[in-house]
Amino acid sequence: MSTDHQAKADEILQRASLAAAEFGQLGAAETDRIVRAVCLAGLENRVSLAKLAWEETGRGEWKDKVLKNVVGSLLVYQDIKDEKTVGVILEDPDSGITEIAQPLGPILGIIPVTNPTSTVLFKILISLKARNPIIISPHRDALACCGRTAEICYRAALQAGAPEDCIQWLSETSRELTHALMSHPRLALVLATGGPGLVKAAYSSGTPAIGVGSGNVPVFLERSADIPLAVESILASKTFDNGTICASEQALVVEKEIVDRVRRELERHGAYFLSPDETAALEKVAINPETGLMSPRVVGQSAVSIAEMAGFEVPPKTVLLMAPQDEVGEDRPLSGEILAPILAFYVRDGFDEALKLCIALNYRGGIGHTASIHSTDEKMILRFSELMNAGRCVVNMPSSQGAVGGMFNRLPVSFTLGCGAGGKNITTENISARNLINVKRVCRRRDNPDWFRFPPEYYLDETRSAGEILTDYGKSN
Amino acid sequence: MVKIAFDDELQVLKCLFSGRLDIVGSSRDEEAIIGFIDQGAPGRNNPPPAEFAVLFDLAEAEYISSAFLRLCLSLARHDRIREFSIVNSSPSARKVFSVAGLDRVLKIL
Repeated sequence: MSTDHQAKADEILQRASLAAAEFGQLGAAETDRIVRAVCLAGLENRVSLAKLAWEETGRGEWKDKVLKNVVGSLLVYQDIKDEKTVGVILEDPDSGITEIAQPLGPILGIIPVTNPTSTVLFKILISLKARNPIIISPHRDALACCGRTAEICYRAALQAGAPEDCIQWLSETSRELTHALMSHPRLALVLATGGPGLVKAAYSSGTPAIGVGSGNVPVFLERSADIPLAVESILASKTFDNGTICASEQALVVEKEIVDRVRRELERHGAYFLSPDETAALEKVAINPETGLMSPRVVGQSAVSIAEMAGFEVPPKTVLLMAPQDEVGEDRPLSGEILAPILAFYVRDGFDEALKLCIALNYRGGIGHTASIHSTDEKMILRFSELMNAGRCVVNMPSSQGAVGGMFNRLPVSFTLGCGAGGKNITTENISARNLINVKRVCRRRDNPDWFRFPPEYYLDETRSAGEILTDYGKSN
Repeated sequence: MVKIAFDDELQVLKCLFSGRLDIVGSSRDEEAIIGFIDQGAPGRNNPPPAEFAVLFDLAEAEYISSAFLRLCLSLARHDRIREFSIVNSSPSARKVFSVAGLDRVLKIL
């Protein structure tokens, strides 16, 4: 690593450490005032920031990015504003335990190109709510829009009494600088939202990290589903910002009994079913043949543009490309994750066969992330949910918006979705301010009567079996 | 407002801080201290000698900002200051220096 990068990282973390020290003195009311001011600033600039992100990245739709900015500011704020993150957060007289929140320290927020400004807003709000300074490290294709967002937030935070340098942002980036920051001894946490390579680098840095996993979201349309509502939900999710949310549906699995109605409903709403030749042509542009992963060329592009790239025409009102598939696997490139309005389409005879296919999809690169079902049969919903390896099983709602939380359910509103051990993450939670504090537990003496009433001689007597001890322990209470 | 006095016998510049050392207070106090180092007490041309010590007394300080921490760092590295010390810090002020990692580079008594 060059000394320039190390010196730059040293300077950034020196400033952040001073900000962390000052931040720790602020009380809950002062912190909340800062968080509110930042929310308002983000919300005020929701449109200009969305347009800037759209122009700079060339991905998605600016109107959808406005909504993402609203989620990243207003809904995140609504979700965290009453959360206790400062001082005493819990007192339990029975157990004698008092929980006290402590800030973590400087956080490095890695920002993806797919949701740049909204993720900046989200990460800044949750970090400040926990009194942590944050350093924003944007994707190289989203430097300007992320920098502008961070700057707007920073000014608002300062006006509201936040410490200097509580928000910093990189105006240029490189692998070396990111590594120097991630592995810096003064950094408390990496909040890594991005591709698998980046997340792995964060976990390998030696600094604690909260990362995300890849998605490959199966959506199961079970025979009892409300088909018009289900199709509307799937389209609202999969076409939102041209499919750039990692929790968006990747493969639609339909029971044979209802396939005709589902197909008609999809076509009525602008979904286009590809022929085998068109599917083959699409595979060539959507998937990088060397890696087997989605091609960045199609990420966040419209259905019509992608069809053009693949060399075929679709009706101009097409919003989604449906790619009929038979099986799941590496030899079926479209059965993996593609952050674009392309949806693999499967038909299976009966619930069990459909469920098996969903499991196969789930385990093709999406374990721990999200699974989706449309059904009115609670037993089927539970069977599906028990077998999916997912942090979130979203039911009868758009998967993208459902997984992010706040609109269709009461999940914490988040642009960083934990994917648990399956996704190589520490948690399956929707990451929020509560994940960015250390909880200190003050433990007052509360003697365990069973432990003290049970004669210690029992343990010393080798003739007494474990079963006897287990039976007798607690009897005296 | 910081109270500044120079102890000629010990060759120590003593600075007694009070109130909130936020960005406004720190900037104001920094200006006063640097002015004293360069020119001596206001109205008198008696700057401290070429080399001297600085003592920050935080007995009456209520809040410490990152701007104040930077002031401490800049004085600790000042080429005319042979020794920089901080005294009478409250437990919460002491924690601020620890969180910033300055307890390892500054002399906090």
